[in-house]
Amino acid sequence: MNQFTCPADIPARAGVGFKLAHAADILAAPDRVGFVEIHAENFMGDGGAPHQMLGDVREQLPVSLHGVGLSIGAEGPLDKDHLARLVEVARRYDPGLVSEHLAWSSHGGEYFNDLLPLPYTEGTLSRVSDHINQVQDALGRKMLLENPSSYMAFDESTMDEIVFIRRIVENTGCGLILDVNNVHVSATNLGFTARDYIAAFPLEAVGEIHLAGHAEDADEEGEPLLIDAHDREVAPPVWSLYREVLSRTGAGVPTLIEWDNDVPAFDVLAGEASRADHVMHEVLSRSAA
Amino acid sequence: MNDNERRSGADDLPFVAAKQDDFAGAIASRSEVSGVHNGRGRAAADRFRVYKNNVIVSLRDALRTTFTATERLMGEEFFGAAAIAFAERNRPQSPLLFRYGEGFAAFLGTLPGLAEYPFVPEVARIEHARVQAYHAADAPPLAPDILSKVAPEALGETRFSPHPASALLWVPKGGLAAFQANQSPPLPETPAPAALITRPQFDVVVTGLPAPTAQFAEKLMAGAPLAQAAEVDDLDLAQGLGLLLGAGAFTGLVDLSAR
Repeated sequence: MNQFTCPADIPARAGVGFKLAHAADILAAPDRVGFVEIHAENFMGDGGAPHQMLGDVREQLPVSLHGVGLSIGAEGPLDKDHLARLVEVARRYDPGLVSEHLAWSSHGGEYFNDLLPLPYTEGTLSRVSDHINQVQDALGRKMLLENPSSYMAFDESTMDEIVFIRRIVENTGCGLILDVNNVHVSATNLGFTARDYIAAFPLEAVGEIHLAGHAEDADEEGEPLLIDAHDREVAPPVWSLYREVLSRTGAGVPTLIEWDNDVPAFDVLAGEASRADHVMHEVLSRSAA
Repeated sequence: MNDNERRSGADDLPFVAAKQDDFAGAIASRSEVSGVHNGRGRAAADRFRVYKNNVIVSLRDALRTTFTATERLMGEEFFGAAAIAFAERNRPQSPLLFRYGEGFAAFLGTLPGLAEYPFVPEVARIEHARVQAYHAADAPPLAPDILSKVAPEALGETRFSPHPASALLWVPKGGLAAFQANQSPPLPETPAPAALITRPQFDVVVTGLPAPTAQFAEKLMAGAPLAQAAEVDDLDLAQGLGLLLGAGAFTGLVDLSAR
């Protein structure tokens, strides 16, 4: 295990997704963010500049390790080689949190590079729980599972998403990422109430919050269809849901600003992070009063 | 098509969204899926297009990230269409997207629109190799003066270990100069029939090699001993070896300690 002078624990502050182009800016002012989150797959190469830069950043900041390619929701078995690579990245960077998605992305030896949805049934529940247990066994630690953004729902589902997620937590003891933008996107697209979802969500298991921007589109019927694009500022209704979550947790939660496409200057990202810090501080001091 | 027709049509679709074989097949075939709704009771096969679009656009963008000079040469529109056509036929074999696109250059070579521009697929080969070199394992390059430490009688039998980032590509149709001209900012053009890819530390370097030096390098990198590798017509051995060592093509000598 690499020994870094900076501790691994992720503070209850806002952090940003780590982009190599921002490394120098982050190193010049690491205090602007509480942590960085990395997409595990970007650091699964053998060597070179990505590892050099992340190693330097890790000396200054804690890292949250976020996998996007493990395909935990796949019908087939987990990719053992890919899991081993995830374990290696975790060994190398001593992350404070490790997380993945409630989704699938590989099938039949092909990788689709998107977080694809699954129906919520006893069968998928058992499979996802098995996969999470395998991941946690391989890592030797608890992982967090992130709620998806949805564009459609399955006729085959026999339980709602909250019940499914609660039962996964019961089955595996895993923690959760609550992606507040995903809640807003799914609620708009599927016609449920985001606040109800948050009220029912097992907040006691949440170890990290994600905030991101979304794009607005419409479906064939002209109904609004929000796309989880990660390409712009966090939208006002998502900030307001974020306040709702914090007023319910009553405690600070590590919060990530995700911005993966049309990535802006670090200053803009850090500005969004400091806004999240400000909201967190404001909501918590009000609930403490 | 009215709603009722579309709904009943959706029930007849061969692809059932809840089965991942079908879901994957529908993405590949531009078909829609059955068994999905919009949360409000309406069948929502149209919503499936978001996933299909995400898959294809994200793979196109992954290719765009690797093949920047190729895109400059082809133009955004032509490149985008070619990348989508490739992505529809060739999914990544792993979630490590920097590996994706190994067959893209060969695919470009089959496009009639590029028949008069054979340097474009060469540029694509250089760019894919460049990205592999960028992510290759770290290793110190062999010091250029290393051979001064080898006993003269052992020189001919000396063999070299290639650096993990090193690669040699034959690009006889002008690919190297086109690659150089389409960097940002452009690099000086050094036309050559072969390109040596190296990464002495963190920056990838692409060096043009004359044909004899490239043949020599190819043999050395395949493990041939120095004297045998040097059996190349018109090779300037001292200059060629100096160029390879200076570029960081090797990381060690094989069997040096055994002598």
